[in-house]
Amino acid sequence: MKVRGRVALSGGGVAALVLLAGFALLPLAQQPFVTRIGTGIFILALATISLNLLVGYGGLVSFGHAAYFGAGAYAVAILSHYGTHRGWIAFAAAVGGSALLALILGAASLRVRGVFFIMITLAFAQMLYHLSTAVEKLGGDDGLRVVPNSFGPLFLGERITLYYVSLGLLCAGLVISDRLVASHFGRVLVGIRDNERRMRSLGYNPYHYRLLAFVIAGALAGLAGALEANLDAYASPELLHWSISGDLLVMLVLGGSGSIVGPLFGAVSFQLVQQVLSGFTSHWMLYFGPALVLIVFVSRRGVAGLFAGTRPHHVRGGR
Amino acid sequence: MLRVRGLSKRFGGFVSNADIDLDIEPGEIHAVIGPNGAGKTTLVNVIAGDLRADAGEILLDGHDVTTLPTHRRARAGMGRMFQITSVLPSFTALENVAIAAQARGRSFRFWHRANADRDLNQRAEMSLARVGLSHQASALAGEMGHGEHRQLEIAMALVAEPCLLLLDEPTSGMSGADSVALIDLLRTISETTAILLVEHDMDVVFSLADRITVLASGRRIACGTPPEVRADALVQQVYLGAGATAAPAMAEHA
Repeated sequence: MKVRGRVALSGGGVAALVLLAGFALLPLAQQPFVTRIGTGIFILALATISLNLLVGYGGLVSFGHAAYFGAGAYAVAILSHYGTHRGWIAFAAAVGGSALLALILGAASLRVRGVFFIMITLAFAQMLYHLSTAVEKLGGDDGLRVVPNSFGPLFLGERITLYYVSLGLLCAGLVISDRLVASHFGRVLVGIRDNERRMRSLGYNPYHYRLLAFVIAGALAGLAGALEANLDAYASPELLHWSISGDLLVMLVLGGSGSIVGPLFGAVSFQLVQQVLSGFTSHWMLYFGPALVLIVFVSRRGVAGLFAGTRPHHVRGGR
Repeated sequence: MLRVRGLSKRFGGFVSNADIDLDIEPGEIHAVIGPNGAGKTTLVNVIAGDLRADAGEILLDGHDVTTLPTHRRARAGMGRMFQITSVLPSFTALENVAIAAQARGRSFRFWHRANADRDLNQRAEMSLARVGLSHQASALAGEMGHGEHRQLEIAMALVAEPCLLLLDEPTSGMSGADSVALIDLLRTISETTAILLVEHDMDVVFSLADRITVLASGRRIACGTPPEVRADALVQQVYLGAGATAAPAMAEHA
C-alpha cells in the first residue's frame, strides 16, 4: 500500500479524488439546485461510510442505521428548540448522543447473530421512529424546526458554506475510515469478520471489537444526521424511518461494500439515478431495482469494483 | 502445565467425554489417540474453551480455567491449531502472524497503520522463519497450499509464546516430506512448550510422544509411555477391534 513513504492509490482511489475535485468546483456553476443536491449526496455518503464500517469490514448487516442518523439530526433540533445554535455544542451533542445510542443498542443487538441481528437492529430503529412520532415535545409527526448552526463566522444556513463543510467532513470521513480499517483495531475487526473462531483462539473477544465498531459508526452517522438537520432546517421522523436504513444499505451495495471509496460512488450514483429516473416516472424504484441487481452481477464490489486496481478479494486495501 | 480432572461432555444423550483425567507436564508432548468417535476432538474443544464441560475441572498452570471463555484461555497461554485449516484468507502470511502477535499487546489503536508496526512485523518474521515459511511472508494466506497453511497456523500459535499448544491432527493431508519437517519442528518446540497432540498417524505419535492417552467411546482406557501403551492388552483389543486402519501401524511398533 505504501510505496517509499508515499501512498499509492488504486484506480478507485484516483477516481474518487477526481470526483471530489469536481465537486469542489461545482458551485462555480452557480446553480442553487445543484449545490442542494450535492450537499445531500455528501451527507448520505458520510452516513454510508459509517455503515460500511459495520457491514463491509465488520460483517455486521445493520438494518437500523437510520437510528443514529436520525438521532444526530434530533440532537441538533432539540438544542435548537431550546435556543442553542452554537455549532460546536450542537455537533458534539449529535456525535456524542448517537455514539451513546449505538453503545446501548449495539450492546443488546450484538448478542445475536445472522438474521436475528438484522431484525433486532431494524426493530430498535423502528421503535425510535414511532417514539419520535408519539412524543409531542419532539413535534410528533411534524418534527422540529432547526435554526442552522454557526461555527464562529461559518453559518451553515448559507447554502455554499454548508456545501463545503459537508464536502470537507465527507473527505475527513474517507480518511478516517481508511486509517481505521488499516489500523491495529481495523485488522482485528476484519479478522473477526473473516474467521471469528480463529480470532477467539488467538485471544480476541469479538464482542468488544464489534461493539466499538458500532459506537464509531454511530458517532459518524450522528455527524451526518447533524448536517442533514442543517440542510433541511428540520428534523422529522422521516429521518428515523426504516426506508433510510434501506437506502443506506442500497447505496453501500451499489458503490461497493468493503471498499473505502465505495460509499462515495454509491451515494453519487444512487442520487443521480434517482434524480434522472424520477424525472420520468414516480415509479423510479421499479427500474432502479433491476439496475442494482445488474450492477451486483457485473461487479460483486459494486461501482468501486469496476475500477481496475481496486483489489476485489483484498477488501481492506480498496480505496 | 495442564491438569484435567473428571472431565465430561455430553451432546444430548450421546456421551462424548466421560470422566477423563489428563496431565501434561511442562516440556512434554502428550498424544491423545483412539478410534474414530472416541471423543478426541471434543476433548480438545473442551480444553480450548470452544465447548463448555458438563462436569470436571481444567487447570492451566495451576489456575482454574474451566469456566473461562476461549479468548481468556488463549491469553492465559493456550495456543491452538485446528483440525481443519483456520487462517485469515484475505491477509498475507506475515499479517496473519502479526495479528496473532498483536493479541498479547494493545489492539485498541485506531490511526497508525498496523502494517507498519515494526515490532509486530519483526516478531511475525521470526515466527515465520522458525516454521520455514519466510519465503511466503507476503503471499495471501487464501492462496497458499495446504502444507503451508499448517506451517502458518503453527507460526500463529508460536508467536504468542504459549505455554501449552493444542494440536488437532497437525499432519493430516500433508505430504511425507512436509510431515517429517513438521515432526522435527514440533520436537524443537516441545523444548519450551508443552504440547497436546491429537493424531491418527501412529508413526507420528510413537516417534514424538513422551506419553500417550488412549480414548475409546469417550473414556480413557490407558495412559502411559509409548512402550507401556503398546503393551496394554485393552488398547490392543480396541485397536484390533476398531478395524484395519490403525492396527497394522500399532503392530509395527509393537
